[in-house]
Amino acid sequence: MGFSTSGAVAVMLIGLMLAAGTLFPTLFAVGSATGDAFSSQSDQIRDQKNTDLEIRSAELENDTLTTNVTNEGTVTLELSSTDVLVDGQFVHPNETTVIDGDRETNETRLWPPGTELEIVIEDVDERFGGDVDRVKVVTETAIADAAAVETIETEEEEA
Amino acid sequence: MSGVSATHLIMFVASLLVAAGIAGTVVVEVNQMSSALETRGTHVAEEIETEIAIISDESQTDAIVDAENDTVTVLVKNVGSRSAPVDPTIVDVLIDGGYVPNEDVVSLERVDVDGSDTWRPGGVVEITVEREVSGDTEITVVVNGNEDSIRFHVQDAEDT
Repeated sequence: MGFSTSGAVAVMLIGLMLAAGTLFPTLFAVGSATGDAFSSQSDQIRDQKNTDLEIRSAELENDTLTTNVTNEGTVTLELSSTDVLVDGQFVHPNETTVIDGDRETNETRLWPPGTELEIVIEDVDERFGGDVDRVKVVTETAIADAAAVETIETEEEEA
Repeated sequence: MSGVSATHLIMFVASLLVAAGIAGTVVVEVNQMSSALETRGTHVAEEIETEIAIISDESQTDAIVDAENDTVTVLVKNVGSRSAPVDPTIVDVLIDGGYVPNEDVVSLERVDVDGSDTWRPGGVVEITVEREVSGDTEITVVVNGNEDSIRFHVQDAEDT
């Protein structure tokens, strides 16, 4: 009688151990994945808080729209994730130049803090059918700035 | 004497069978529960990592609402850390609280990188739906449990 109880308990304990062996690794994996998710979310929020930009000027002259934006934050922004909207429409700029004091380059995809980005959009008349009023620049964390476009009339009238 | 032993033997075997039955059931059920936990847990992690933002210029209602064709177009950016497929069944649009069914979604495409069918972090997608709007309008886009809304006012047809 005594031995059969021990035997039964032994079998059930082995079963419980196998079950625990399946359950605990899953719990740890799920906890880890959720922790990673929260961590990347808080990284993103921090980047968002540290992002700031200001459009210094947006000038339309000779069918070319030139926008100068300064990175006023403390995070380096990526140009491939930066979007330009002209009059609410998404546009691919013709050229982007990062200006840092005296040096400027249009070969980079990085926009460091404290530097200015010059965005050139050509053939405005053809793309938008006339003058444009507003330009909006959006960064990778959706922090954006917008400004009214100043149309500069050129002195010579071209035919 | 042998009568007692036979009884013992039968009870021993019986108790072992019951124990094995219980243990087996516990192992199988815990296995199933653990798969369910894993699926649920990774789904929650995906939802946390998904984040979208509508970047349409809210002051430019002409770019959002096309009164001639009765369509509404918004630009949505993936600002999370998880990619999503460019698929109308993944992206839901609500206009003034009303759900827009899939057949009213005119187009859904990536505009920053042409021809891509993956909406990577940093990517911008343009959604056009067929819906007539007027007055104060609110548009909500929902992807994987994460949503963003914009509100604007649509002037009625009379020009000032």
